[in-house]
Amino acid sequence: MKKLKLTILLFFSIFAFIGCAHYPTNAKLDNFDKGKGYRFQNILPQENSDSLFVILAFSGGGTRAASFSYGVLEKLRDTEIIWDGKKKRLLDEVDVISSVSGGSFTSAYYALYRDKIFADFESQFLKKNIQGALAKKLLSPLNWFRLASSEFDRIDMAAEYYDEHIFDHHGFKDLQKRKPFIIINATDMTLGARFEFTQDQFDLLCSDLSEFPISRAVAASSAFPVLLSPVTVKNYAGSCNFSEPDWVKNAMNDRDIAASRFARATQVRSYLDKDKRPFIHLMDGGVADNIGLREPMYSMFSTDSPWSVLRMVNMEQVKKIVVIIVNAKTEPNITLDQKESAPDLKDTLMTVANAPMDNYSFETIELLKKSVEQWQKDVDARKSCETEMKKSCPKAKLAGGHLYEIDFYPIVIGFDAIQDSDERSFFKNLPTSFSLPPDTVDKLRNIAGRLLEESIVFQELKGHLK
Amino acid sequence: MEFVIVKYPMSRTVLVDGEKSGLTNKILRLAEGTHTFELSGAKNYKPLSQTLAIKGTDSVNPKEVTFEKA
Repeated sequence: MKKLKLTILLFFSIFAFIGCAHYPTNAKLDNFDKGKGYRFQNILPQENSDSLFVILAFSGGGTRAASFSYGVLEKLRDTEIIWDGKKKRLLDEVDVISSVSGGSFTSAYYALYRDKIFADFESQFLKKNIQGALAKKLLSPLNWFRLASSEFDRIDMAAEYYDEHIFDHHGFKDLQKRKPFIIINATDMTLGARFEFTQDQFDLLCSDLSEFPISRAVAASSAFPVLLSPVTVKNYAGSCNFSEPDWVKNAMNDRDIAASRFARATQVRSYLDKDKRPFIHLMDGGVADNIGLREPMYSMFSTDSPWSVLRMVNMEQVKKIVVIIVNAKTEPNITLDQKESAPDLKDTLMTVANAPMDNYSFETIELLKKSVEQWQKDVDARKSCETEMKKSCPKAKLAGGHLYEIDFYPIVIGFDAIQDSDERSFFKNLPTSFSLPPDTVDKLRNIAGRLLEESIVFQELKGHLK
Repeated sequence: MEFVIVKYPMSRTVLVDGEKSGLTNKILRLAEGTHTFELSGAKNYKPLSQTLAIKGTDSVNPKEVTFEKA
């Protein structure tokens, strides 16, 4: 009888435990208020000027990407500049970091802990066997019961681990209201589009980002398809007096004249229908944009972005824009072509996962370069016209006066730039994982600093900031 | 990139789609598409707003959007 009671109690406890296993639900936002929450416009004014606007974009790639981007932060810390008559570190002029997957561990850690990252990020993350720790958690029988719940999955377990061991239970409210403003990027599975962890994005869901664990945002950003499950967030749209930005209504007229603007507005509106989309499932940000550059480009070339740099340019608040793209992309697996037999399922899936991402990243970087070239051409065309007019009609003036000029410094850091073929091959064949040997982590840090120093555009920038 | 000059007898901040996006009588850069133009501050100008599709401009031939004192 006693044994029966104990057995019943045990089964009851197990089922109660399973029933308790639920991902932490994101909080509802009571009232939409642009003056509150984690957004660029709420960052307090400080020593970091807008006139030198520095954007970092950190790619995905597991610990390889995290180490590579960390090496860039170290180099920026060690680079002294003079701006607005003050000596400072270039790191202290970083305004925005947009990151994906592995790169999001670095950006989130820096945003939370600032210079403390240089004291303990290596031991807390880079040189830890995170992969092994996650596998251990997954293999623990205690967690099997939790994983049996339909509302708790592998990614929630990973987020728990990051919360406990890396981000110390911090939420977005704990991010200092100081620059850099970080944008952790995931992918909305339904739309296949970017989803960012900012209050501007969460406003669409009528959800309050401030209590949302940073660990969970980083987990979503790095939820590698198949290996890790997506992160789920609840949609409370329609319950917080949210009013959509004015550009959205206008963009709905742009299907034929500005298709991408129309598409973006359509995506925004899709969140506002919570009956159609009561839950949003988020996966690795690399699926939508593996270098984290799309949102910075949107900000630089459109006035629609909530933190539009273009608006700041029009207000003549920006003199220089620096964009440093830290791309930890690896080499395609050309060993496949050395065998006659068809590649196996694993290789096939890797190609399906990586090829579109890499192609899109390449095109995005090319688009940035072309946009910067066109920007200069527009300035030169205007100047040329003004010169001609001055010659033939000195008293006449072109309406609008001079076109405001800024200096652009697009800098791409990637393994392709390594001159030595053996060294290049070493880095380009590093795996995408959350465990790398410590000396490999150090090599990645060092090569990042070296590649940045060797960049002609970076040298030009330093020369202009003396 | 598109180019617009919002003309007004004096210097005022221009709102594009409800956001401060530059000054009157200076060339503003915008992405192509439909935009609403207003002036910030007192509503002592006319018309109170203008919504236009902006496309096909360049830095030498910006689109002019004119407001007058009311």
